Amino acid sequence: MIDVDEARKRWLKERQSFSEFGVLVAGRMENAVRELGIWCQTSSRAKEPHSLIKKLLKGNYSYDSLQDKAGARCVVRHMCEIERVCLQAQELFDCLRRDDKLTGLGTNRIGYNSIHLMVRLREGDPETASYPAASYIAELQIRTFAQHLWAEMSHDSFYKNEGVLTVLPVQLVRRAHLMAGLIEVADHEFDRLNREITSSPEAQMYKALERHYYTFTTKRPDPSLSLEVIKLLLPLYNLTVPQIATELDKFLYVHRDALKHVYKEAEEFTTSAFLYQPEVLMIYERLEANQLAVRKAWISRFPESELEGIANALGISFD
Amino acid sequence: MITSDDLAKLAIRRVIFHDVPRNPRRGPNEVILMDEETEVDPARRALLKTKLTRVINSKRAYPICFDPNTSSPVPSHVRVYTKNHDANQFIPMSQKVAMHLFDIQHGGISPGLLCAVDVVAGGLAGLVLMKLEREEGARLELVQSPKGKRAFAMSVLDNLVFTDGTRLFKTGMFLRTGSGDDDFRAAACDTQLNVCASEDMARFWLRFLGCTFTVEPRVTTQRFYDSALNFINEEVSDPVDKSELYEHLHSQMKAEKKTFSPKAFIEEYVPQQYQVPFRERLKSDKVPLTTFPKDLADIQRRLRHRAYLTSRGIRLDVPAESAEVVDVQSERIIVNDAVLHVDRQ
Repeated sequence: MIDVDEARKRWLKERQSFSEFGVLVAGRMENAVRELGIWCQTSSRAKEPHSLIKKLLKGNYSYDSLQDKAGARCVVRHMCEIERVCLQAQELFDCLRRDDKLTGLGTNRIGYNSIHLMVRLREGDPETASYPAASYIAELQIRTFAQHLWAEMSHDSFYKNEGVLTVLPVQLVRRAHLMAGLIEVADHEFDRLNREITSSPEAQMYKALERHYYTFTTKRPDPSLSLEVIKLLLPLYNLTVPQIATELDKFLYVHRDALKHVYKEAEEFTTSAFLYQPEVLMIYERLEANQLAVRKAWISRFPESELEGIANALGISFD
Repeated sequence: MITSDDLAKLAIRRVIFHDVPRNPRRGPNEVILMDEETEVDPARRALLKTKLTRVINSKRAYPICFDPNTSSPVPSHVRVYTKNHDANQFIPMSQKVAMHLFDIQHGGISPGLLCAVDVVAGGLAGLVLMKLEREEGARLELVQSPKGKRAFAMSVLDNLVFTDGTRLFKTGMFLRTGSGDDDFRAAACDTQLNVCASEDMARFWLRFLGCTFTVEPRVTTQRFYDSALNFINEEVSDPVDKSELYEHLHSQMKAEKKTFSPKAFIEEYVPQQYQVPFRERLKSDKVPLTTFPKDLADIQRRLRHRAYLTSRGIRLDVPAESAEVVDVQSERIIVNDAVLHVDRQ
């Protein structure tokens, strides 16, 4: 029988450090995923005391064997990004177990669909002094927004739990499965849309820029504004989109440090709104290559002061 | 030269102003030295960074280095201060620099406020010196600490730096790149280089900073001219483009302006398909893309041309130094030279 009072006491004492461990795991994941150029929302938590006690009361775990006392989560937009994020996590941490919920469901069942990794710090990690690998393990969940929707909506309900579903009336079980199916279909459709949407040169360019943009910031841009600006800038190159992308790769490689600094120090209220648009990287390259041409194209549609704001933030003067 | 990347990474650490009137040699004028830094809030700090970017990356900024023959104490102050980057030395160092400015600010040199700014750019310690001219009616507010120490209020920035009227200032920026005496990237901006000022007036700011142009202007001018000319001859295949670019090069070299911006020249006159290779050519020939003071001393003769227009509309352009190869007769014109290249259209 579990000693609930003892567990509660220990958790009240240790919860803060597990919470900090969760923050560490989430922070490292945020930086690593950013380097992949993937937009990702990260969060972390240490179990609430009541939640921990409830889990222990179910009798499957002791206080010490309960591995998800700390948790971190990465939510991405597209299914095709999941595996890359998982690989990144497996490189960063010592991964004890990988639980792929989709594989668990098999081919003819639908439901909760996400990847859970049990992770701890690698041997030799400088933080192991504070978070020894023997005690500090976190559950890292990696999922898409659609999967996140299912997980959040089902969290307080019983339709996530297969065991409970079996005792419900058939019609209710069927409706719960239909919802899970819809969400999985939506996930696949978003993935396909993301691949197929790049038919226009502007959209292709946007995708090429987005890859770099998310390595600097996680702030969400306005894609329709992006397409408008890209349309304005594309004629300034006598190149195809893949050629422009190659030029940008080279340019951004050289100016990466400066850009990192600009994004780190940027204060949202004093910086041009365009700093948080992927096409700012294209604007930067063009300002360095041919300032006058950019200015001429820009003022046909947007105020010049906004362009000057971007230029100044990137160390470029119009004077 | 200080790059746009340096400026993108710029962070302002501390700021101080001193009021430096014209030195009458005899008479009552005295420098009003502040004993405290001016406190600058984050919004004004961001504006000041923007202002410095606009000035130091402007077409009127040019690369400088310490002049080994200078008598100005500024290089020594900059060297010592940026080496130790000791916050306690900021105020005394800036006071000494202000006193030096007062010492040499005679005659036609206008009075103003000296602003010293302690900066870092991507881990490089740096110092900026700016001279701000007092604007008519500008209110300069002083604040006094309980211990009686004085500082200019941050409203000075609003009244003298962030005004719409003045976009550029006399400025010098130094970023330390190593531990040696000359391990600096430095640039200066001086609006008076572009006006019809006397040589003394025009060089006043550099003299104060104890600096000189990184490369002698006559050398940079010649390097640019040679590099551009070679590019036109070797890379521009279209005869019309070739002729137009050649004309632009010469007209811009001979223009009244005292400075020359290769970057602006490329943007305004070089056809788009040649812009990248031209830029690369300049880089490989070690010609700066940034503005440099123009000095035609070494290419004066080569810039003089004689143009001949024949009755059938043929145009012949001959460098003055090769004028003797053209033999003009009553019905014909003979060029005594070998054909090097023929462009067919």
